[in-house]
Amino acid sequence: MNSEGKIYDRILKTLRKSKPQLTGIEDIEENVMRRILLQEAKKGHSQNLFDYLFSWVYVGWVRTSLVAASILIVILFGYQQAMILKRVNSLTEREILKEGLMVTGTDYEIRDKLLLNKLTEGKSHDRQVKISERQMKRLIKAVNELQLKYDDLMKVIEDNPDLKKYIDEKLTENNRGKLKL
Amino acid sequence: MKGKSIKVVVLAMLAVIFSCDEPETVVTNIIHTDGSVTRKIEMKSIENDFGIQKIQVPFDSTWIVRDSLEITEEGDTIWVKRAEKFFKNIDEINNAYRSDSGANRDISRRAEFRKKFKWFNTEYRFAEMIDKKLSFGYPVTDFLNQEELQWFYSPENITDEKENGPDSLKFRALSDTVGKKVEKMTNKCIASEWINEFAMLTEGKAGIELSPDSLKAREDEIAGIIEVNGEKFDSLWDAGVILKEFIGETNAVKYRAEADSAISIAIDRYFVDFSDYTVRIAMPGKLIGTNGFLDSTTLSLWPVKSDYFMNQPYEMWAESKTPNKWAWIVSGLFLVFVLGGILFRAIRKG
Repeated sequence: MNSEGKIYDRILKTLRKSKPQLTGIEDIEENVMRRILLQEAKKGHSQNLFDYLFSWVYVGWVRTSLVAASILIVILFGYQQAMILKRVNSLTEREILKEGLMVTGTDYEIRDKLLLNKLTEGKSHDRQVKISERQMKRLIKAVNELQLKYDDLMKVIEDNPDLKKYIDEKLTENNRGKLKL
Repeated sequence: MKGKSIKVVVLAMLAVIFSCDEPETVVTNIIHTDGSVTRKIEMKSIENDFGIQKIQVPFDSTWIVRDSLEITEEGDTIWVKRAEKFFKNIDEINNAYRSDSGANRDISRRAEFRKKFKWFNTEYRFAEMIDKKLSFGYPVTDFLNQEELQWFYSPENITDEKENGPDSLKFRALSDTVGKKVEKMTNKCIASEWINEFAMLTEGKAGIELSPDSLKAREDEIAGIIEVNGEKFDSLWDAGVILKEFIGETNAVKYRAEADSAISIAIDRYFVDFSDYTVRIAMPGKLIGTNGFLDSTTLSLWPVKSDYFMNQPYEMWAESKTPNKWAWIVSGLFLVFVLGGILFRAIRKG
């Protein structure tokens, strides 16, 4: 080995023995951790929300109470629905009166029928007739017009005693004729 | 007693006369969720005469009224009066019943509304009640079995249809049986009323043989005497024949006045002035129970006749429910939340 080689080995040994002196290790550590956490946060932001939302699952008594409450709600729902179903079924077995008690005719009555139809959710057992809303409006309009004419006619009759008397007589005759038949 | 007999006959005649004259009435109660009620009365008559005294339910000038003249399916002309009134609550209906001056003013009637919150649903109950007239009568359930009770409470159009349809013989026999049993019930109730009223009037005066217990023990016998002498009851009572059979000759002479008063009270209570009508109830939401009949629009319906409330109160009730949608949503979210938590925990553990 020549002298240059010896010098090189000595320098290398010296360099190996002298380690670098780091200043601010804590700052470096913090920096590294922050960068790692930032990367983690980017990955699983939603995971943290779930952690927060479902933190109760790690508390025994809260978990047991909420599960018990859920079971109770399911039981209550099932029981209520079963009871209602049973009662509704017993109603459907009932005899239905065929004779309608409503008198048909005026718009007033049609309003009643529409209201009742709404109340009973359209469950009419006899003579179900489905008509469109437009047709219904036209029907109500026609009946209203007829009602106005009827009211005018009634007013004319009421204002004219002779006419009223004549009509009463005719109606009485008509009813008598029916009775005779 | 002579006066009583005449009174009974006149009352019966008046009842017949007025029954021809009274409108055919249907009362419809449309119940709202807040307990208010829209009440509609529909009256049909062959004459345009709807005086308040003829109307079966409370009615006055505050109602919205519409009169019309209509032609029936048979071609007859009838007068129809329709009236409508909005009652803010049940108390208003009950006040109207208390101040009623109509055809059925002698009858004690009232309405009741209940609302129950049951988380998933809210349940509503509306009832119209008629108090019983007799103080010492027996309930009709003591006399009729289930099938007979069904017949007894059925509207006339149902019974008529059955009596004239297939199996008419069976239904006519059933109708006869019910008629006979109701007659038996009437006699027993009158006997019971008479015994109790007579015992009260003679209390402290009569001997042990006329004590309430002694007379009560002979109730069936007394009812039997009334039944046997049914058609000639008035004349035989006037002659003192029936009373002798009831309590013996000596007591019949001694307590004649008390016996007359007691029979007068019993008959007055039983043969009350009453005009039949029909009640309908439209409940909010879905109908889930009723003790009435259902008509073609699935509304609850009850015929109201005097026989129904003689011996026991007559209650017409209907129940319905409306779903609480917000409660369904809240419950659903809660279940999802709990279920989600359990799943989350399982995933984390795994």
